[in-house]
Amino acid sequence: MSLNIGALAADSRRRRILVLAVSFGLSFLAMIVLILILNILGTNVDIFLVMDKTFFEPLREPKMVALIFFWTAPLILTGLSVAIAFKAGLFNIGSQGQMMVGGAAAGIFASNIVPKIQALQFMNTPLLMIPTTMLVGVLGGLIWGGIPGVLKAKTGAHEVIVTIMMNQIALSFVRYLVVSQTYSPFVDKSTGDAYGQTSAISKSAEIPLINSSFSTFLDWSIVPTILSAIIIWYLVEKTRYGYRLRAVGENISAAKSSGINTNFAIISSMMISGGLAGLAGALQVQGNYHKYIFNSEGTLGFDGIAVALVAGNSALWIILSALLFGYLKQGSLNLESSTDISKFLIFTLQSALIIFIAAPLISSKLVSFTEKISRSRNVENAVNGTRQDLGGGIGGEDTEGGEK
Amino acid sequence: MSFELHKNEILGIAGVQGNGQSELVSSIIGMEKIRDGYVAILESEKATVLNNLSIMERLKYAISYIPEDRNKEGMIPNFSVSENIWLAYHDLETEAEIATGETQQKSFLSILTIPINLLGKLARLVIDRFSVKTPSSETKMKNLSGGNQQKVIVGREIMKNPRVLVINQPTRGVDIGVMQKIHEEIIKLRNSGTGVLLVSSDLDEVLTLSDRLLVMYSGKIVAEGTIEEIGMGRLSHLMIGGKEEEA
Repeated sequence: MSLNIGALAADSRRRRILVLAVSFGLSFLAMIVLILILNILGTNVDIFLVMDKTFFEPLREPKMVALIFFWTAPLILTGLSVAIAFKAGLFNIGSQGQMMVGGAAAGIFASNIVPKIQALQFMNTPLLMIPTTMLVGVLGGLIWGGIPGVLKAKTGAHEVIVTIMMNQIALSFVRYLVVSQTYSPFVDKSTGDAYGQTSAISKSAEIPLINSSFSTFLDWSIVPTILSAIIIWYLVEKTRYGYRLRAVGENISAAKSSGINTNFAIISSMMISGGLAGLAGALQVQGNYHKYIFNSEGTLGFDGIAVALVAGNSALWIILSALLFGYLKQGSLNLESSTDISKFLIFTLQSALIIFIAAPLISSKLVSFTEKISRSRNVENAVNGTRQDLGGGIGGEDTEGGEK
Repeated sequence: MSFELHKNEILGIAGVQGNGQSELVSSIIGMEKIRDGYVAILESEKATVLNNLSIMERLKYAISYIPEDRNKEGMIPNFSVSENIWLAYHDLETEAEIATGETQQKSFLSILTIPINLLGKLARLVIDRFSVKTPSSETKMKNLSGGNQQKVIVGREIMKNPRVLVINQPTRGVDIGVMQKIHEEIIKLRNSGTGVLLVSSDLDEVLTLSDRLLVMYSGKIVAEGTIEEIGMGRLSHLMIGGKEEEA
């Protein structure tokens, strides 16, 4: 794997958290410096207003707290998607496309296939429809993730290139399926001028809101999401399959020489990866839009890469990391909607965070440096102590000798 | 080339490095495809050709393999010592149970999950028998010294009590104490019935351990026999590509 986040993963847990905190502090600083520069250049950005709207207001208002969780759910899934591929040593950049295909598959299944086929009417109850629609989404993503996996295992085609191209193919394919009134088979034809969306999915496939008076966004899809994170954590850390997966990711030659089926590990991890992204797409359709809307994923798929990176690809950390990104996303949206400052200001914070974490050298050097200072201070104190005990003189000579 | 490896025998391959020894062992274990010829196991009139078997299937015929470069093929530096030992047993649970003398309770969950207890027991056994110097079996492999890493790798394979042990550079970059320990264990394994195919760039090692020798030069076997039969002068002459009549 060429992307080196090993340095981060290798450090002890305490140190890793420290490095993360320092990275976050540094990126925060970077954003403030940017604002100051902008202010010097003549824009009039109020730092305190930015802070309040981005970081504090989302926590004050319950509706916005709900929205943070609303953004967190798909980020957890796309983060997991990137992470599990990474565990097998693969860099899946295709979560975006896999999410799109999964969402489109789920939307088409619940809006055009089940309601229109008589033989499938028995399924039209929430008990059957909610899980099958989710499953269809998973399958869509799984196929889209599996193709690069098979190509990687059988022909050695690099997964980064293939997944990037698969994103583009997904975009065109889904565009064909749902965008145009003239040629798309699954576009909403009821009004005749709908663009880029399917008709509404069957009511039975909708995932209900947790509490409609609390938030009109937050639905129960957070539950399967958290469950997925726990299952993936268990799968990777505790099962035999996960052991083999990690072995392939850490050292593919050693895994191969000890008889691990590396091709199976590569293909299956890409399939699981795609499936998770597909689930993210399906849950958005079922929980939020109640139809598939073209490009409604925004950049949630790509953000998964950042989420996984910050969490060091550990499934449980991804929940926290996704929460951070959900918080920043809500903060930035709030900033943009309530002031005339662009949300991309917060985007610089996120980008800086990714830079500091992807290149942990700066932060980890800083941590080591402070550790060294405190250690040398301890040594100094100890030396001074002994010097006093010895009545001085000897210690001084030693230090001089050392300096030469 | 054609040769046989018998039970209770250490067959050493003498040759200057880069004359096809590594390719030979990797094709025996299945890391490289065999284009021509075959590798087979003979037991009481029954021959099993290994050519089309996967690496795992070969390992299940009780072949053990210790690769040349431990950092490249032998171990996973970011895994713990016990996880690295498990690398040799991940699909050979019966062997692990025989080695530890412990039978696992079979349940749905135990089929799914890594048997932590078994892992710990195996690690203890290897660490004790080979006196591996490590703070604990959960220490990361990369934090061990080269010699201790090698002891873990050799230990886990020898504990399997294989029928055939293919071992490439058993003692590269280890100190004299570790080397002695590994030699002792290889001889012990031979005495218990295993056929050992030994490749080493250290000629002394090959000469002291081997019951029989193959001399390899540029991918071919140029001589075969005990060291007495071949003779020291002729051996070194053949190893560097000298013609038979000039010897």
